[in-house]
Amino acid sequence: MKDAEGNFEIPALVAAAHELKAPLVLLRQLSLQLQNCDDASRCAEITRRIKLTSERSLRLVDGLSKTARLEDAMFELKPIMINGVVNEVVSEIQPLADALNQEIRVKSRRRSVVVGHLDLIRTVLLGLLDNSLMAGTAKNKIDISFSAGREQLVLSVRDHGQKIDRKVYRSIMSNLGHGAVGVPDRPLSSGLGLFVATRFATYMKGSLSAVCHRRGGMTFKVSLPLSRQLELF
Amino acid sequence: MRVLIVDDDAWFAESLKGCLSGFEVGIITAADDIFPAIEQFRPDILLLDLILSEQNAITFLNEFASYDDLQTLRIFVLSSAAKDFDAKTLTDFGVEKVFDKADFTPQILEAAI
Repeated sequence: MKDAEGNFEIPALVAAAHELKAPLVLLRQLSLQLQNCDDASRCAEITRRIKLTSERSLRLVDGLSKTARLEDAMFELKPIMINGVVNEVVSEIQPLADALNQEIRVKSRRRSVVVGHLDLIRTVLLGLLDNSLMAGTAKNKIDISFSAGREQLVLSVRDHGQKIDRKVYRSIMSNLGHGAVGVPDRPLSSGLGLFVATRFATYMKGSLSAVCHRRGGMTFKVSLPLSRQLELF
Repeated sequence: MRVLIVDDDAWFAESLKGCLSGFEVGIITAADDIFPAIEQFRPDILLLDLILSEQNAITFLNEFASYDDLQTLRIFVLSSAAKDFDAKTLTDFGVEKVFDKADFTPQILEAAI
């Protein structure tokens, strides 16, 4: 987020401000509604949405603040069992998926160990899942899968949101990691989340890429180096 | 009085509907559904977000301006990005007033009507 002279990049700051405004606007609106609510079940639903929206904002802010600390190399990389992280993250974001009436499916069970940082991997995965949930509609399914090559593990998050225009897709791909670009056809998705995910993946000697699908939706893929420690046994 | 909310954030739209007591309120979350909803719901007022999925609001406003029979529909823009758009451009498209979501209340709409 800082340029070569250590100054914060203005476009990223502006994008962050825009993105953080949206959930705050929603929180304000929900609290206005709660003020006048006299139906207990309706009030409970509004309260649930306030909680979920504020948690989303906190995740975004948390990811952003970690990005600022990357340059200080404060995140030690070590072997991480990816399956455990995936299951934990899915549990954490499940309430939001339930509220949006969408399903998250973990399609791979093979045990894989990568070299990374637990917190950074969690943030990347939470960001991609949040994006997918926001891009989808009720009854949508999101699939998480991972496959191991010789050197890298590829963790894929596939959503079935709307079709992305090819020009928009090229714009996303050319800007990943270079600026907090929004996703024009997916206003509720987080360009900032993709920016943070790209930075974290790069820090862990991995990468982030995306594929758009002809029938709709996107797959975001995070590649991370496989741990060779288990080969010693 | 009938109000049609056009916003791709369903939670925001539902919450706003919950605050607009005294109005009959419909919600559309996709720009492609606006014209069919106008024909079916026959709103008096359109509360339009600017940044939508599939198509942005300016594209809709362009098309809207070409339909003489819809010009009695009053359009108000309600958007977090309100300050990023030139108000004159929007009023040239027939937008009556632009509200920022950050400080909007139903009383503000009532006063504008």
